[in-house]
Amino acid sequence: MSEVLGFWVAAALTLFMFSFLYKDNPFYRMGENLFVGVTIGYSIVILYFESWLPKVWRVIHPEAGVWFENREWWVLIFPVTLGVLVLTRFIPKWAWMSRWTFAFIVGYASGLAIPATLTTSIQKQAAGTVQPLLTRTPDLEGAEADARGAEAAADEAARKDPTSEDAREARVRAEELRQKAEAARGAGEAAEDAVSVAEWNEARKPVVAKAIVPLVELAAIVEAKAPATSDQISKAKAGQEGAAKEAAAARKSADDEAKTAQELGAAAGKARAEADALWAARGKTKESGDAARAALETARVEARKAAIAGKRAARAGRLALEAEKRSAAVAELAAIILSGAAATDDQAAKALNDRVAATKSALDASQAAIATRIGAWDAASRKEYMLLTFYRDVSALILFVGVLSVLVYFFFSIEHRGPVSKISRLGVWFLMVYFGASYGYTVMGRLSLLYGRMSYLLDASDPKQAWCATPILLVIIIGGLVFLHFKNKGQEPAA
Amino acid sequence: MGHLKRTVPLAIAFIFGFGLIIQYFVPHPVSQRALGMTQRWVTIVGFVSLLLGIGSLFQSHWRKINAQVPGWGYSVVTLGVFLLTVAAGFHPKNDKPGGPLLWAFNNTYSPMSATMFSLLGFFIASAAFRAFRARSLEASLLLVTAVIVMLGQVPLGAHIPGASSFSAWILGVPLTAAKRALTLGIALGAIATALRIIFGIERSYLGGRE
Amino acid sequence: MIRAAAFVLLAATAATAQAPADFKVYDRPGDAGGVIIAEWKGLPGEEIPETARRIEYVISVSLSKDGEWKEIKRFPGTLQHKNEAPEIFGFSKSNETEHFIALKGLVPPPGGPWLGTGKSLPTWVKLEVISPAGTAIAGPLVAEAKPNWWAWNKTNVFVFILIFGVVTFWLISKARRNPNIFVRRIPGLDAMEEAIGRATEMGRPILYLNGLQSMESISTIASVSILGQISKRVASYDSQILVPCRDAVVLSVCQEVMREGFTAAGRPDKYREQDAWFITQEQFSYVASVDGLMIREKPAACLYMGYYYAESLLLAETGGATGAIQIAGTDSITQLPFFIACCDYTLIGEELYAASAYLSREPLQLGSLRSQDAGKIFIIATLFLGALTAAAGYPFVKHLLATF
Repeated sequence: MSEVLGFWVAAALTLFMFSFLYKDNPFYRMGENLFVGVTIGYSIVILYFESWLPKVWRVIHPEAGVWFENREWWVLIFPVTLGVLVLTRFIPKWAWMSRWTFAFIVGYASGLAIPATLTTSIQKQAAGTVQPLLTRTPDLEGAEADARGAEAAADEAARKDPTSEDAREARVRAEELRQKAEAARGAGEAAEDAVSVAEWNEARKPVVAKAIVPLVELAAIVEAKAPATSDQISKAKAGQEGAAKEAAAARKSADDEAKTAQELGAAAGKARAEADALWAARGKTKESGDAARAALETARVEARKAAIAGKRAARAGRLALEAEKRSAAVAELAAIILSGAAATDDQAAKALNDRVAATKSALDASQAAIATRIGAWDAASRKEYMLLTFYRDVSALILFVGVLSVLVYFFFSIEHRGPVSKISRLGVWFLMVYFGASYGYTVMGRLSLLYGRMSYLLDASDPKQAWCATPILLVIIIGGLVFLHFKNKGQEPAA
Repeated sequence: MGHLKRTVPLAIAFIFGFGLIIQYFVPHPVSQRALGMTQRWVTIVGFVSLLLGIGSLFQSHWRKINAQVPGWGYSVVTLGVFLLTVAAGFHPKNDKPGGPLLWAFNNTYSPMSATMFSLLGFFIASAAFRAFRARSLEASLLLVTAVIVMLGQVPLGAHIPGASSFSAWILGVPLTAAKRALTLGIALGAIATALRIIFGIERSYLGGRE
Repeated sequence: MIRAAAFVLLAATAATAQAPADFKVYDRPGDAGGVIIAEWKGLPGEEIPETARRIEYVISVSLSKDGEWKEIKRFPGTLQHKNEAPEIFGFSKSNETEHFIALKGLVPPPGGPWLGTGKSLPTWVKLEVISPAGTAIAGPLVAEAKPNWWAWNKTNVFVFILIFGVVTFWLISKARRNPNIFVRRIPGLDAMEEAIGRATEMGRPILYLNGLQSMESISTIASVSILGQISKRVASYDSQILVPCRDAVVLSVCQEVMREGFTAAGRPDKYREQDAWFITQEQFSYVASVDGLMIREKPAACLYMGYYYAESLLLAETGGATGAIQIAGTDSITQLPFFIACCDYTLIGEELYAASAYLSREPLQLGSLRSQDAGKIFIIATLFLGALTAAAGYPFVKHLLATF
């Protein structure tokens, strides 16, 4: 019974307080005054039982409880006097005596505050800001070790107090380092892959350069539009054979590359599937998690290999196609030469075209080699960059600049002009980012408080609710407010 | 008389202020005991002065009741509920669960506190509108950061690439920077004020310079 | 041949089974007593973890040199290095290779005059070293725990306070000689004058809150000092100021400060004791009451000075809705965003502590304001030096800032 009554009272008071959102009204005022009465009464009771009894009364009357340490009850004379001095405020003539008590409290507070503030708010904060601003992380292993270290520190902080600011900051830092280590690893791998592609292209460059020689020579003969000499005829024969062989070799190489790419692709797919299965089936144990992680790593390596092979196969296919075209062109040119007749204008023009095309493909190969090599350098420097200036360093620098500029903003006795004005303005920006971020961070928490209150009122499954408390109270309060609204309507213009 | 009104309080503030600074550096048990004792004194003074507070409360409400100013009935409510709560606190049944003080706490104090706190849910939205009407670079910076960080907190943000990690970065770097500098500045201000008090330069808590 | 090998073996045993060098036992310096420290150098070769792991140290204590020994701790050579306890040994490089253990000094059975004195009986300490080569013993040595009068590991804090104090005094004495001190404008404080004027014009009161902390908080003291300055102006403008309090001591101080303010302005007759009153100590009922007051009294200006918690937004948003000029000043960094959002002016953090000096324009106070700036310059210089030296691999600035 008292529980149900309690709920009615609590729900009514909750609604009274919410009615403030509409405007000031007798319900709110009632709640407000009742609230003040309850809290002041409650704090008296608590102070009496938790402060007066154990700290004063039982010292004076030891039989009522524990002794004050070393039975120094007389030390109470001083504080009780101080307390009594406060009460002189009731007598205006003596009220000034209360200053002694204020002086005691204020002096006590000041003395306590100085070392405490200096150590916790200045020394600790400054020590946290003193960091090397540009550390060269020596290698990928170092970056990953840092990330793991930060992860461990975050776990440790979370174990101590998962909701603390420190734990949150440690987690953010660990996440940041992990992402950076991953990015650096990605950049490192991209650099390796780029080197491998560049090397392959460079290996093809002399092959192509050699392969176009017969075509260029035969085309030159045709372009001369003169009957072929026996020497030229034998060259044509040899060139035809060589070109056909070369085309066949290029085709075979392209087929080989394609096959390899296919195999590697299949292997990568299989590894991936296996890893996914392991990941999905991993248990709570560290071993199974580690195994799944290792499998994922393997799959990733396989996928990389397959990707490189795919790139090579595509390029080899194109080279084979070119070789076949060249072989056909060489055969055509050889036929003209072998016929013994002088070439027509058309034939000479076509020979010129073929020669240009061949030269171009050699140029292409050379360009591809150069381009992929530049790509490799690029990737390597990106990797270097990643390892050299982690964005955690940039973060450390931003943090440092932020602390400095906000401190400069607080200078009172220096005019904010020139560079000081610019720096302090930067400080204001940092402050604004802080205010905004802190506001945004709080919103969800505040909304969930509201949600909590609403669900307290509306949770019909709660037996204390007696199903109808909230609706009935709501109707009464809204009715009351409407009544008051109309009742006061006549008086409003006067107010 | 002037000495009693002025010099004695300044001396008291100096003695306790200076003494407590030195106490921080003295690990000896004597010093620890002195600190503990002083802290107890502060508690005792706090309790006694609460009587002063209640005196003030009674005075102000009694004045209203006596003069029958509009709304004096509410003062009756405050004083009545206060006396009821104190009576409940000293009720012999309080040793058992379900005692009257706990009932009052659970059904009045606690829900009203929680409700006032939850009003923040409305106010945080309305204050945002008030703040973000301002058109300046600084206000926009505040707004943009608030939105980014908020997106990082809500499920919607998970669908925006980079929102949560950028928000984490803001909380981890620029926020930390500003907070650190604020803390440093506040600490300097507090220490300087405390020094002013101990050495009697700041004496307005005694009511001005004279 | 066999004899030679045996000789080598013996020599090796003799070499490794030696007792560690520099075994010392002494009272822990700079503590409240009760603790003694034993320290010694690690055996040669300990820097290799495999070797260190095979060495075991055993610490035993006794009340007499050849009395009954009680084993206290047993640990491998990889543990208990002096660098784990910089609060005792500092940051010396050699701490990495030296071991230590902190022991409770032996005391007679509980009770009696020993309790809480920090003293102990003379305590004998013995160190056994067990390595693959054999066992060696260092000690026993004797020491007594006793309480100390100075915490050496906090000396850096003392030096900082001393420097800050001396600089503050120097700047104050400079200010006394030359009272024209530049102080940059703080718009929130300039606006207070305007707010008080507006209140007088409108015939409405000014609401002044001291924050939610008690008189033991420096921000409340700062806030009360500002109230003193404000009351003078309120009195001379013939306006009214309302100060609802959450703490009885703060209430009394406010009443004192306001009365003096009105007296200083030559209007002691205008001071009304009931304009400052106590509401309750509880956070949200205090706020509920102040919010109600704001809606009913419609103050022309609301000034929030001091430390606030979550209620900051409840106060400032209600005040904003009534159309009052609002000026906040707080060192509560978590609540600053809400005041910034709702108030016309906000004194940010340190500005709260500068406010009293700014409003009073007293040379002495302004002089000490400059010491805050000197402190900031010192911090900035420390941060620069720290960052540079840390980059060069010397963390001594960090060590200088260490707190224990």
